[in-house]
Amino acid sequence: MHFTLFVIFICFILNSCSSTLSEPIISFQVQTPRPFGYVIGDEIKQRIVVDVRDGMALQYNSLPNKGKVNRWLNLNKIKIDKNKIHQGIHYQIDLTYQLFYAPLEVKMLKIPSFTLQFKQFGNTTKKQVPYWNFTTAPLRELAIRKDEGKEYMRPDSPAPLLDYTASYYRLLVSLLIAFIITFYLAWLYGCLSFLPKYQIFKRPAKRLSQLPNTDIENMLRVMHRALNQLNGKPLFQHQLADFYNHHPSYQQLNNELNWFFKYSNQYFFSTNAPVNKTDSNKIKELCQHCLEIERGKR
Amino acid sequence: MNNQLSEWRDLALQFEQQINHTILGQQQAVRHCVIAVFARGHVLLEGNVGVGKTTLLRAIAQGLGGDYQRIEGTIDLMPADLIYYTYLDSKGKPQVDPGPLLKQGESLATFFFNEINRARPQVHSLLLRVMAERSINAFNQDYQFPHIQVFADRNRIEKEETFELPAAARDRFMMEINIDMPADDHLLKELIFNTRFHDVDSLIGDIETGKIAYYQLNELAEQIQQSIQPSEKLKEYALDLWKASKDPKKYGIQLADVEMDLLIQSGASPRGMSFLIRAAKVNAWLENRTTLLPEDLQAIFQVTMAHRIFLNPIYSYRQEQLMPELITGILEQIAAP
Repeated sequence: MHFTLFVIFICFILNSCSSTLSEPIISFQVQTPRPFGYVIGDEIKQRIVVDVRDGMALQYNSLPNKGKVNRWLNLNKIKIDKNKIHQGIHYQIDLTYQLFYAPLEVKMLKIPSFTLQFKQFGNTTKKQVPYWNFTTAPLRELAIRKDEGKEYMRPDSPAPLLDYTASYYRLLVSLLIAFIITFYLAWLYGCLSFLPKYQIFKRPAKRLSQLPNTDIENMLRVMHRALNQLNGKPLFQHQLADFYNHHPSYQQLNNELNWFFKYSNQYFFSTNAPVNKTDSNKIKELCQHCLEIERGKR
Repeated sequence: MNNQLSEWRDLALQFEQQINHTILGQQQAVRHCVIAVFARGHVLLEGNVGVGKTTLLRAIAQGLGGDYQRIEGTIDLMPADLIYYTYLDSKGKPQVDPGPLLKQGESLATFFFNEINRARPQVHSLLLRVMAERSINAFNQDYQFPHIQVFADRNRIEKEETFELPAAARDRFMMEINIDMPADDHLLKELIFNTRFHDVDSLIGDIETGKIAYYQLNELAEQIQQSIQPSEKLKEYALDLWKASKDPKKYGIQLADVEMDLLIQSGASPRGMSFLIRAAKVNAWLENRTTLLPEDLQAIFQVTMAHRIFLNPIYSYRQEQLMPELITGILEQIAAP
């Protein structure tokens, strides 16, 4: 029994001193895209994922410098993400290269290798990122000869357009509905001043301003005609209540309209028609007020 | 307006009020009857059975005072029955007594002809003269009835054994007034349940009589006609109304499903138009105005004109529908000024 316990203890000690603990780099992985089908100008993204022991620090100057790597390769972008994980530190290094090689035939190229360095307490640990092979293809068609009457270079065929007929009709219907609603609202708010309905008092107002102030008879006739047109039939004083039922906005002119009809009755049907200098102005004012109501301004 | 006319106007309005108190829901018909009384025109009432035509006329006759006679139209009624009647007296001798027309002599104020369309055309002819000339000739002499006003009624339900009034007789009536049931439920309930309206004799008896002296009505009517003078513009308006009644198409009047060219057989007569103006003046007087306005003509246009416009026979079966539409169309199409 004592012997068994001793063996288990020794095994535990040995396990604690195992190599996994002493290894500074826990995991190392280089992720690369497809190794073929590249043409001049393409970007190649390389990702290096490294998990290191706590206390190990990546030496940023061990990464290749941003800019020109060689004659045909440029390192455009370096992005480093550093995260604390359970066992140590997780580094994710994203390198974006851009290819400037213009091959005349399919050619294999390689992204050069470099060595990553990690430091801890003055000790340096190195890890090499291996080179990476890929093939690049010519962008220009070299097999076709111009002297054979064939076109040496031609633009890409234009991209086929999406079928927008349905959207086009939907747009038309939407516009039509929007127009109808706008028209209806404008009609409700009396903004359609070009409609005959909103021009009943426009011409009479102009005509009244042209008539001399002494021509009361024609002024009364012009005003009567406009009111008759608005009412849809001849309007008389005793029908004003019914008139207001159909045109409630004119109720506010009740006093003026009653004065007008009374005055008109006196002028046309009484033997002694009184004429006052201010009467013409009152008729014009009434017409102006009617015009304002017609335009929705009162 | 002079004081006398004002006093008479007050009496006329009291008279109207009394009748409205007796006959419920017929304000417009009552107003028209009052106008006819003061314009000295004869009135023909038309309406369904039991709507109060006879009661209305009896109420007016009671209110006016003066002598009153009535006769019922029957198919065997002859003109002579209105003038005299013969019988054997208690001694067995034949006797001739004056009939309803002659019995009261010149003091006859109201002659009420019930169910006039049941009487024969011969009777209509006699009535035509009574209405037009206010006189008849009997026993080789003329009898004058200076104050007579004829009220007649006819119901529009029955057409059998009736004789349509000839155009000439209808033209003598100043107004033809339609009497319909009141539309107000409250009034209808009142008519049904209020016992006051169950006994017509006592209802009529309640009307104060003699406040308006019937023998002064002719003079008063003349004063009313003289005191209110129409302006030139109003004469033009009346003329337009008249012309539109003869040729509505020319004035832009259009009725549904009607060939307007063919609609009118005969428009209003000049006598009809003079009745219209007389009645309109009385309307203005009752409204306390000395100015005759278009609304006065409009107020009585239907009742004075509708029975004077004769439609083409092809449209006569739609007369009850077309005539009100035509009258409304004329009034709504003619502007003044």
